[in-house]
Amino acid sequence: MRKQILIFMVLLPVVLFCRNYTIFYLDENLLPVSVSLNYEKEDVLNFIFEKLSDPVPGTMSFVPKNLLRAYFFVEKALVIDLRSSALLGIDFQQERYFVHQLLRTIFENFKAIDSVYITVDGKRKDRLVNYVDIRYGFPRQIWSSWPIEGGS
Amino acid sequence: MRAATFFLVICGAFVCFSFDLYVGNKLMYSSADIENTMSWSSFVSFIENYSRMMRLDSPSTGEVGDFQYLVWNGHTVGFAKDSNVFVVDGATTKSKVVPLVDILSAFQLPFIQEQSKIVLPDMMITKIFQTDDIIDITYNGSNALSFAGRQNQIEIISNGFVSIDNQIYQPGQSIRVIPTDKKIDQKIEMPGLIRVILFKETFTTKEVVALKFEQIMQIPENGFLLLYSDGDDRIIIRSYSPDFEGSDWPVYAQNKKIAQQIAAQFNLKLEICPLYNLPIERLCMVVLLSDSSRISQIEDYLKELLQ
Repeated sequence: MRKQILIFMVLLPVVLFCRNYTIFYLDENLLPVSVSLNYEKEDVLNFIFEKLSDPVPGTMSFVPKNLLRAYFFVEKALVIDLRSSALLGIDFQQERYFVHQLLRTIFENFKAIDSVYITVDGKRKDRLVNYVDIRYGFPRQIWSSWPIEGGS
Repeated sequence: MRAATFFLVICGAFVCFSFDLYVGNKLMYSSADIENTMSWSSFVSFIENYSRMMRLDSPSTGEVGDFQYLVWNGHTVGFAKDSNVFVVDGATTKSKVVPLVDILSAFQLPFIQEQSKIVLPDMMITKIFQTDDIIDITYNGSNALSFAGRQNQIEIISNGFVSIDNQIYQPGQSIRVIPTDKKIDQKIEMPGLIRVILFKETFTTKEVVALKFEQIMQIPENGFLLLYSDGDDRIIIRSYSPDFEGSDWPVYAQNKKIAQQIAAQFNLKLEICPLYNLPIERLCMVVLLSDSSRISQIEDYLKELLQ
């Protein structure tokens, strides 16, 4: 009995302070696979980037490791600064799906954020790598669901 | 017989003196108090709940001795329990309970008063604003509107108890008719704002400019830009951005409508992604095809759609 109480006391803070976060990976058909993970510390965005770059078995991810340089919140917008070296060599498809995976995950977990801005190496740039336009903000309404529909 | 008479008298008294307070269709308060009155504590708790529901500023409350007061919406009401004095914006009346009708009038809240029932709006429209392609409706409370597009007009209809300019519209009543030759394309809802995007079914451009995505050097000035390349059978259109404050929404709406029709016709996926090579505020899309010979069919179908 005493042992059970001890286990309960140890687990109680974990249960109380853990929060659930949803990470979006991709299956072999490039469809989104959501995975729920617990995390109790404060630096949630670093945790999300770390998990996005480390897909669970049976899934894949286009988010590379060591990508996030910095981030900051401005009212209802989130600005994320990425490391260009981590994005080197990604192709057209990977660049788009990287954006979808990242934004879908951010908007799912940060309900108070209305838009996301991306900078690279601390500077505003026209393109993320070669194709995706990052001059303007990305709105919640588009990425609050998966932005690809239809087809077979 | 005597028991039945007694029962009827009691029921009659309840009907005469009972009082229900609704917000829209939601019953918020019901009591057998004297008609349209409530106790001070019930009143304070109702105003706190109502301001929360309607996303209005919260009231401030306080007390000095036996005098309790509430300040809300620029008005003060107070109640001295021991002397049964009730104060509304400095004017005093002798009362044991809160005379709700007087208070609601003082707070400038619109309401409907029926026999033993008061109904407050569950949506308060603060402004209806129309530009060429957008109707913006700002409001407090919950969205209780529907829109009906008819020939050369769009009608805004109440689905709840909706107030505007101090008038309350009940379910099914027409709130406003907006004359326009455009149709509703999208309705975007944010807390406190409904944005209706309008579009003209006749497209401004009928010409299609088809170009290979990789070979694009300079974008032609006119025409619907149809970029194509090898790929996995999908159409990509540009998303809108908060930076343009809605000015890119009409083009996005038209692009999406056309892309959905092409995607359905040719069994393609539809992807929304801001590709740099897709010009902003211009009818354009990228089509990625596993069989590149299909582009001519898509181009013909697009020309048909633009007609």
